[in-house]
Amino acid sequence: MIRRRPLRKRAGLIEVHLNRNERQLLADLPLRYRDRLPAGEDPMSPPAGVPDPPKRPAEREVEPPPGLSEVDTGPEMPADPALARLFPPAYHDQAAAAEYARLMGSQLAASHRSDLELLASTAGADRLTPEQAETWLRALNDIRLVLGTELGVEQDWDVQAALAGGSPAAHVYVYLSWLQEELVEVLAGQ
Amino acid sequence: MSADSSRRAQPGLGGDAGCGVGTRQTGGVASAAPAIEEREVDQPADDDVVVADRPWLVIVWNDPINLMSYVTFVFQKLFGYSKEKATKLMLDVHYRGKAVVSSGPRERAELDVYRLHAHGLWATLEQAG
Repeated sequence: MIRRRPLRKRAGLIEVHLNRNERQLLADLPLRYRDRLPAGEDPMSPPAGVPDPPKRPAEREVEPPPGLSEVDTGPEMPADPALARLFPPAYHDQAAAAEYARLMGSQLAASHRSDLELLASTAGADRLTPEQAETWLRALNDIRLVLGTELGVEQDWDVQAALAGGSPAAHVYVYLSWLQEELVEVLAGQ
Repeated sequence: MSADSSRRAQPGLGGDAGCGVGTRQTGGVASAAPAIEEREVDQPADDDVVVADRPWLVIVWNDPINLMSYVTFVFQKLFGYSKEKATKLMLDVHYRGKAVVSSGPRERAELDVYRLHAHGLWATLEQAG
């Protein structure tokens, strides 16, 4: 079986060899996720009030990172926990995390938004600059993070079972994972 | 990267990293010399100086979705690490659950965390203990 190479590096650019359906997916999907990003001047502003005091971490070999549910990212996106994966808390301390989110949240949302829009707008391109290709990487990753969270992807996630179950989302996730892996390989020069 | 199922099993854990200012007693600065004139000693400010001297650590946590190759690529790109060093850090994240990927003044650590978040990695910062 000949391995399909959707992306190839040539003369400093990345050639894109994708069919019409693939390009259509890459043009539509990012905008759907972009539209779920928080809008407004201060999308990550924490709610008023005094946050709960920090709790001591339990004794364990590796303490977990701060959970996304621990930091209230504001009233704009409370019902979309999968999207919150794009806005992880920067501190274990809730107050510090909320302050960080207040300062950086808008900029981070704008960064995700810009990446997703570039993927959508260049989905039909035959060639990408290295910068565009790196933006593709981030945008593909953003979509995978949200989609994977919604699918409940964990270490022991059974890809084959999910695909056999006929879930379109699982098929998209696996496809995007494959494309991202190919893109990393090309950009890393392997 | 692999899953860290314990992350979800034990939500609600938190630490006091990042807000230790003023909670640490330095001691040892008192002098036996009599005060020539009354001066108010600003002890909290003294603590600030001591706390600020300790570097801030940028930590990347394991997650089940980010690709190992992508995480390695991001470490190389953001921090200029060699393939070998970036791969070692990625494997630390993968097998040990986390790795310190950079350290320095708080402002720089916060910027590093921002850049990692913009690349979809799960990063936090905390002050070295």
